[in-house]
Amino acid sequence: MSTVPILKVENLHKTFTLPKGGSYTALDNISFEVADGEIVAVVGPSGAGKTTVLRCLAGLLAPTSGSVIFEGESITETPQDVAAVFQDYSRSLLPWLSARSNVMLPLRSRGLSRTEARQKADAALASVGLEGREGSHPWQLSGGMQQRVALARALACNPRLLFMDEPFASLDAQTRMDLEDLVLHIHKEFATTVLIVTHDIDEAIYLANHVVVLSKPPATVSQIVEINLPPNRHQTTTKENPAFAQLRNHVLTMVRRDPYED
Amino acid sequence: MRRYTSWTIRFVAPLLMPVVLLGGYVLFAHWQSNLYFPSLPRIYSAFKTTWSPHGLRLNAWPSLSNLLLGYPAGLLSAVLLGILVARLKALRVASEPIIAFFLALPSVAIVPIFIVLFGPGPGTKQLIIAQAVFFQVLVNVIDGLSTLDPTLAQSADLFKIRGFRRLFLVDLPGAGSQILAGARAGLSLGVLVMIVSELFNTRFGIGAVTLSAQSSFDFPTMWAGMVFTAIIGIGLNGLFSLAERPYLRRAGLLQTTTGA
Repeated sequence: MSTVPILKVENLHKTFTLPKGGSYTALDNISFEVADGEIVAVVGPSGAGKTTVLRCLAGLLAPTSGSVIFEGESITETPQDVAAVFQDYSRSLLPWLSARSNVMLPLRSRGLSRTEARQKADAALASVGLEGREGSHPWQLSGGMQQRVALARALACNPRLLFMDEPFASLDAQTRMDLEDLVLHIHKEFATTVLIVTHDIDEAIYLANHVVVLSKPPATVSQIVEINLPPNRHQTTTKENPAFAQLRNHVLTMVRRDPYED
Repeated sequence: MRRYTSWTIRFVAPLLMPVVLLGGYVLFAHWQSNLYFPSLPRIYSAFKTTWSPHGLRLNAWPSLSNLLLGYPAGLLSAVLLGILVARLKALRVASEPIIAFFLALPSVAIVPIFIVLFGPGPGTKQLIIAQAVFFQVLVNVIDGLSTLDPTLAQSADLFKIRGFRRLFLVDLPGAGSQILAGARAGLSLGVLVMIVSELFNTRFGIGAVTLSAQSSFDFPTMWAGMVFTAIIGIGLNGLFSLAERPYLRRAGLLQTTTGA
C-alpha cells in the first residue's frame, strides 16, 4: 500500500444561500487526504454535512471555496475514474431495467460496445455474488441484493476511487455485515480506494484505515484517527479486540460530545 | 372456498351496480311512461338501427377517425415539446403563462372559436381534439421531467449518462407514470371534445346524431347515442390500460407482479 494521496481535500468550505435570505455554513474548512489503496471513512454527528462533503468530492456540488484534488488535478466535474454507491438503492437503480442493464448503462455511456459492456456487467455481478440474477429487475431483488447491484455498477467502471454514501444504512444488521465484508473483499481483490461516509461508528472503524471525524456544523475536521487494527478484519474477532473498543469509545466520545458543547 | 370468494369479488361484484341501476331504470321507465325516459327495449331497438353496420360507417367512423388522428397528434407533439421545455429553463419560464392560460380555458369553450375560424370540417375537429389533448399532456410531461427523483438524477449525473441514452432510459421512464396519467386524462378529454365538436353545423358523427335525435324528440335514439358514447369511452380506457401494461410491468408498478 503506497502513501501517495489519490485525493487531497484542501480548506473545503461550503455555504448555502437560503431561499428566504441569509446563509448557512455547512462546511467550514475541511482538509484531509486519501492515500492510494486505502479505505477512509468519514463520520460525524447527525446533520454534520457528511453527504455534502461527499457531493463536493464527487464533483456533484461546487464548493464555495477550497479545492478537491484528484490525482493531481482539481475537480470541477465527476472524473471518469470515480464511481459511487448511494444510500437509497431503490431510487438510484433504474427499476425498468434489469440488473444487467443497470450495470451496463454507465459502461455503454463510456463508449463500450454492447458485447463488451455485457461481459463486464456479468463479471461485476458475479463478483458481488449475483450470478444467475442478471435478468432480474431491482424490484424483484431484496434490499441487500439491490445494493449489491449498485456496488456491481460502480465496480464495473473500474474506478480508481469509489465513493459510498451511507451505503448500508437502510439494510438490516446481518445484511449490513455481509456487505461490509464484501466491500473489504472487493477492496482487496481490485485494490480500489474507498471513501465511505457513514453514521455507523462501528462500521467506520471496522472498514477503514483512517477515520475522519467531523464536528457539528459548521463542520471542521475534529480529528483524523488512524485505525491500526490487524489488516485481515473479521466480524467477530476484530470487534472483540480491545483496540477496537478503545477506538470506538474514542470516536464515539468525539461525535457525541459535540452537540452539547460550545 | 377462498378462490370462490376472490372470483366472486373480481367478476361478479363489478357487475352488481350496473345491474341494479339498469333494473331501477326499467322500473322507473315502466311506472313513469314518460316521453323523455323510453323503456329499455325501445332504447335497445333504436341502438340496433342507429348503430347498425351502416350506421357505424355513417356516424361512428367520422367521429372515431377524428379522434384517431387528433389524439396521437396531440400526444406526440406534447411529449416532444414537453421535453424541449423541460430541458430549457428560459423556455419553461417564458411558456408558463401561455400554458396556464390554455389549461385554465375549458377546451369546450374553444370549440366555437375554432369552428368559426377554420370551418366545420373534419380537419378542424381533429385540431380541436389535438389541442385539448396537447395541453393536458404537456403540463404532465414538463412537470414529470422537471421533478425527476433527485437521487435518480444524481446517480445518472455521476455515471455520466447523457444524450438520448439519458432521455430514453432515465428521464422519460422516470416521468413515465405522470406522462401516462396525463395521456389518460387527455384521452377522456379527447372523447369529450370529439362529441362537443359535432354539436355545431355537423351532419354526421356520434355527437351530431345524438343532438339531432334530441331536437327531433327521438329520445330512444338520443339515449342510444349516449350509451354508445359510454361504450366508446370504456373501450378506449380499456385499450389504454392494455397499452400501458408493458411499461408498468417493467417498472415494477403492476400490483400482481411486484414483490421479490
